[in-house]
Amino acid sequence: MRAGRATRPPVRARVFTLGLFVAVSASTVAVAAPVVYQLTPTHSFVHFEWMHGGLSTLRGRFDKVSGQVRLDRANQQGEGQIEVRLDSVNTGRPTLDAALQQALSGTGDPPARIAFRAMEFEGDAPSVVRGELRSARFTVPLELRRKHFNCYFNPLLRREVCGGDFDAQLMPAAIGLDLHAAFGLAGPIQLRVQVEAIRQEETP
Amino acid sequence: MRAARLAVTSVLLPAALASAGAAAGAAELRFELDLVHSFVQFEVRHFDTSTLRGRFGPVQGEMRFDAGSGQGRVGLVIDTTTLDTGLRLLDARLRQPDLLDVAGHPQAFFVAERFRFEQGLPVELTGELTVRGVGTSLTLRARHMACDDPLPRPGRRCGGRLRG
Repeated sequence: MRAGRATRPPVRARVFTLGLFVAVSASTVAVAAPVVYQLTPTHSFVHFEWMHGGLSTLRGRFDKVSGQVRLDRANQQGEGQIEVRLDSVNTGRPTLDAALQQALSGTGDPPARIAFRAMEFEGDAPSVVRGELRSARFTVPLELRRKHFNCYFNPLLRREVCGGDFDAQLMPAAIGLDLHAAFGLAGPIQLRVQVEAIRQEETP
Repeated sequence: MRAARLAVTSVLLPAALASAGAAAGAAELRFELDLVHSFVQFEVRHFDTSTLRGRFGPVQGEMRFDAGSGQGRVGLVIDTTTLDTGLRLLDARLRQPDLLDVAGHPQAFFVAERFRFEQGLPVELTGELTVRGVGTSLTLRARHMACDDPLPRPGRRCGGRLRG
């Protein structure tokens, strides 16, 4: 017993060796680990289109969007959340902005949140993102479909940036929105989610 | 950077017939752009990732056409100071003299006199877009075009969304 123990390295040395081995393995398989990307508010907006009177198409935008996405592109998994300040709605028409704000959120309400836990991939790019849109006043399922997606190395940030355009359709009644009589807006709302997100240094 | 895609969305309000002289072209319909519902938008892909969208407007203008003779004319006046991308820093940069030069050229114009019609409605407008005093040819194609009546008639609204 005593002789056997003497032939093995001290416990501390073994733990150190094991730790080194894990660290080396982790760095070699880093591509498979989930990576956190932080949305850049300057390149992330939720745009929407809504038919007006059967004639023109209203286009509006939520200007204050933030969030975080965790992507494991090698294993085709991802999740995340996007927060949308409903009071940042901007259509170019102040009276309509006021009506939308009043219909969608109360003073002091937290931002609406698109939370998604299910992602389908085509190759290493997300193609369908499923989740829900939740605010103080409503919760509705939401399915975002990729129109475009790409990642690149941004030389100024010296980080990888991923981003794209994802579309979803939303029925106004599902979020308690009725502006038909007052503004002639009717039919499904097309959401066009523009996101760009910067890779964070290390996964926490 | 790829070329920007443009979209014009507008409601056309029926304009009063100007004078008795207009009777010669009785089949011609005249409209004024509804200032509340008429905007020009643009889209530019950013670093091959997301699509940046911006807006000018409301835009002023008028349109007249006669589907029978295939004639038409549209004139839009775009106030470049109304540029809004949702990003003030970018707006400020785009307004500078080497880009849109908003101070020197507060208006951009689109004038088209070549119309193609389908089922009585204009669906393709070819003309010239003038930005910073420099003209480029531009064709806008309707993605949606409709009137309050199935066919455009005097006194009824029309509207649509066109891309170029």
